Amino acid sequence: MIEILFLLLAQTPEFEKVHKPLFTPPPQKSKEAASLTTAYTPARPGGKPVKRVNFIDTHIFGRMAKDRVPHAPLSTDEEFARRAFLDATGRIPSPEDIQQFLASKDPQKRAKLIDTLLSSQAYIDKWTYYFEDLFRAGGRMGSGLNLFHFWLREWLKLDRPVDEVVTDLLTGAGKSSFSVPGSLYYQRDFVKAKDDPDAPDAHDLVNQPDTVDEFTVTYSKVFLGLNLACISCHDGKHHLEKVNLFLTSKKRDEFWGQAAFYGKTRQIMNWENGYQANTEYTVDDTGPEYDPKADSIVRVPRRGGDASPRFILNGERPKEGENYRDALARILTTHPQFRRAFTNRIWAEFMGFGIVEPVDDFDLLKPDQVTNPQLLDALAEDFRTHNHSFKHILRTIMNSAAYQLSSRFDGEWKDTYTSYYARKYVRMLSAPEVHDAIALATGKPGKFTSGQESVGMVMQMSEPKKAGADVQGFMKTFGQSNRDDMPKKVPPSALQAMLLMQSKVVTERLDLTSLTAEIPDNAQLIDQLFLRSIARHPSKEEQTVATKALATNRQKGAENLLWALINSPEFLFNY
Amino acid sequence: MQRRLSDILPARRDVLKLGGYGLLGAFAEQALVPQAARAAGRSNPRGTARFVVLIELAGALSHVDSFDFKEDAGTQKDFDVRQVRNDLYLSNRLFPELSKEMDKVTIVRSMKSHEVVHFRGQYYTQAGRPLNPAQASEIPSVGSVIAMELESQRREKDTFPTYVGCNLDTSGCGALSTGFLHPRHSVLDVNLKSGGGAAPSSKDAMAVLEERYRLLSELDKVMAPNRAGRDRSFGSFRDFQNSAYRILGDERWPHAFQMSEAEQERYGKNEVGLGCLLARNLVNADAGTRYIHIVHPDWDHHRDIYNHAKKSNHYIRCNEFDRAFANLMRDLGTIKSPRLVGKTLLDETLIVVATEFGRTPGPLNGIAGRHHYNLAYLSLYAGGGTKPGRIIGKTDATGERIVESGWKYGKQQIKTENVYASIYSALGIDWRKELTNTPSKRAYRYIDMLGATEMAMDDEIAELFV
Repeated sequence: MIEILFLLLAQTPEFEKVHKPLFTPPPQKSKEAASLTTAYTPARPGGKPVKRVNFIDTHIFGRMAKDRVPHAPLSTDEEFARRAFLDATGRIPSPEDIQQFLASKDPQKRAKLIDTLLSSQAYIDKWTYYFEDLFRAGGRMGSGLNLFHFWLREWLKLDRPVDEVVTDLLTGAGKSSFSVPGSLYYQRDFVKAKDDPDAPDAHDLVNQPDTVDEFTVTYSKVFLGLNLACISCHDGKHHLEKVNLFLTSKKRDEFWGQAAFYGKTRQIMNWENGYQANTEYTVDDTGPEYDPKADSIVRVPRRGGDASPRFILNGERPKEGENYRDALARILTTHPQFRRAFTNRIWAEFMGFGIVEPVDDFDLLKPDQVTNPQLLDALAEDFRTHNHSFKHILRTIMNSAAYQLSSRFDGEWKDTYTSYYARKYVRMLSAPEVHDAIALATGKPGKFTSGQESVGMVMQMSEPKKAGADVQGFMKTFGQSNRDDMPKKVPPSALQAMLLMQSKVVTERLDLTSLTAEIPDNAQLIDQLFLRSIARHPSKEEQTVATKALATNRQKGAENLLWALINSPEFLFNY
Repeated sequence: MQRRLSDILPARRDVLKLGGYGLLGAFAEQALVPQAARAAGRSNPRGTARFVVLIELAGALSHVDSFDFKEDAGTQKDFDVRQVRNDLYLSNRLFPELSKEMDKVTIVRSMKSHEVVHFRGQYYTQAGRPLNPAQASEIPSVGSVIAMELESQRREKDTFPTYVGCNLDTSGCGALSTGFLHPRHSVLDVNLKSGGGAAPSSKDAMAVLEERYRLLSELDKVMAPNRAGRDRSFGSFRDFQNSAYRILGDERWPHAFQMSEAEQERYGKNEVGLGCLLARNLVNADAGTRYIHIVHPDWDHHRDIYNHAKKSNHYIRCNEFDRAFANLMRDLGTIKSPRLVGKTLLDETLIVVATEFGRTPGPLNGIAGRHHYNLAYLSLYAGGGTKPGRIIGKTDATGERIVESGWKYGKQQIKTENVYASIYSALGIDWRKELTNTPSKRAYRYIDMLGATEMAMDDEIAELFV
């Protein structure tokens, strides 16, 4: 195991130097950790051992076996179905979906469901939305937003290799709004210098070095999991010792070296008919080099230093005559940290938190920040050997037994078990998921537009801001990003509870006139409402309470029941 | 290798959004254990205020054009500066209403900060201490600490959350979490422009809500077994629902959000105007809310600070703040206190106006604005036991340097920590208290001098009160 680890690390001398572990762990004694068969794993007393499916399970269950950590049982079919639908497509399953899945006796049904979900339109909707939050595809992309939206959907549909997509995002050049979608990622990060319409050189309207600095911090977080914000203003030494050991060793001019890959890149604001076409830029690479003495609007003054382009992780420079941004894309997308950061981020989405946390703040000199280094490296390598396929990562994670464990842990849980992923971690639905789940459970889609299309789900929109004040307020409370800042998670709050009870998003969707007419039998009606909202059949006790609710006024009772189901924690959480 | 849960949790900005029941239900265990407190050197809190309203001017107010006026190359010709009293000159153009009310206000001009970045400065204003990424996940907002401290004073009839925020989500750091404290001390952050209080609009609507909530409670009893053994976050969400229902069910709540057209005009239909109007209503209702933090965003005028043609400039912001603050003081000053004979609600409400730092004195910069300036800036106080009409501290002729701190600590300038010590004092809270059972095991001091970026005194600004 250790040999494989070192093999991966020996990419370049510098990388190896940086990644040399601070200590060498003792050699692994257990051979079982490396096997892919049904080895005994210490589940709770009387619990069934879990069959390992792929390399993820090798590393997850192997580690648990080695450290004698008990784990939850496999999820039930109901648990799995709802979870898979939400994680892969952002939507709750329909009653038909559930019943079909539960009824099927196919031993491969889970794997087949995963395949179906990953080929669906909703999969593209959800992950386009996710990447639009991550890439902050909002108002600052101006009239290029729809082009960007379309482009994201296309690469998800085709499952284009992620390294190619990232290359496009880092090297796009041309007129941003109408021709080159990739360039929009850089273009949205402009830092304006002045508004002076008489400026002799339109180039001056954007402060190029400041813009480049901002963008370098951004893409380093997103694609390398490195937070270079601090060293963009000052050396790490004497500042970051308690924060990040790796960055403590870095100097500001090493940040400039990274920023300098964009040193020659210009954003020239377009002018039409005497007016600035705000948010429309032409991006090209014919500027002067990065100037380490340039004035700054948003940062500590630059007082000079080595700003020749060199990759911050291994010092690699552009080849002779190579366009700097092409060099950046080439070096970055082939660097192992890119693969580790990306797979870690996606892992966090499915498993609750990353193998490294925070996902955009690796400390490369702290090996114990990585809770399962073998797993992370295996994920990264698997990503590389499968042509950087995004769909492949999802399929691999979702098919693993580790992903399919239940959240229900019947023994005594210890916080020390957490990093072993010994159970499924419950998470609240994301803001668009809550909205769309309400729309689906009540059978009342929204009336939104995305570009020229009419759509019913928030997750189909290119600009969720256009969804109307009620929906916007609702989503903001549940943590929707404004797509100007990086996405953040919000903790549960009383305001969320209040909106779920009282917001028009819920209350104006509760008319069940047609459904109550279609289904005259109470038991069936109740069953349908449970399936629609929380994706499972009601228990006997739940049936009893629900039947009572329908007694006085059948329709009002059913509407109250649906409201109560939407307000129940099972609706709001992905467990 | 054994890993502590707190080792896994994120640092920096993202962490500010993870509360006790965030992603991992992380500090749930912690929060259920009673806090281990110790009073580390007793302080003598005054207990002069029942309520505190903190108005945060987010983005940084220019001190030399406002309440520490300096005539300089940046002074605009239309400022119409008038002498309000001895040492107080105020632009009538920027503050027409407040110019009439300055007898109620005390100014501290000797504030100093180490911060120059909005995110950090605004974090400082909510947490009462500078951002330390290594600890940030467990640090609560001051409002949450206050909510915890005042919880024992809540009466049976109190339904409103102790800590209410207004537009906190527009602040650079958003609404800070409860850190290692129990999530029930969390802020209820209201955004009046979108949604407001979510209250039922009529008696019929209330009846419907009651019926539904009853069903939810009954149903939840039988649904609970399916959640057993899964995660504590389910349970905590039910707690939030119960609090939410109590709030929604109290007819005083929608009443607090009813604002007539005339009132809205008077206070101003903007973030700070509506926020102050809500604050007045919440204080008047006395239904549980004791600490209100209002954010007035968009003061960061690096460019065109006094350009009338711009949609956002200091004229507009000053005027908005001016009307809101003046009317809040006036209204609270007219309403008799139902608790104290001969006193008004203003006597019982400490209003603090804070901003993260000042703006560069002297001539305007190359883009006709003022940049950040941390070496001298100000804060304002009214009501709640403060002696009005004072000016504490003095800056030099240009507004660049503090020449007199104005308090008993001589050369030591006044910091945000001291502002919060004063707030704790006014509320009767021992500000030298520390809580020791934090996840990191590092004691959480209410006022933390050792956590400051430079020397800070751990005392209130006594000169505000005596």
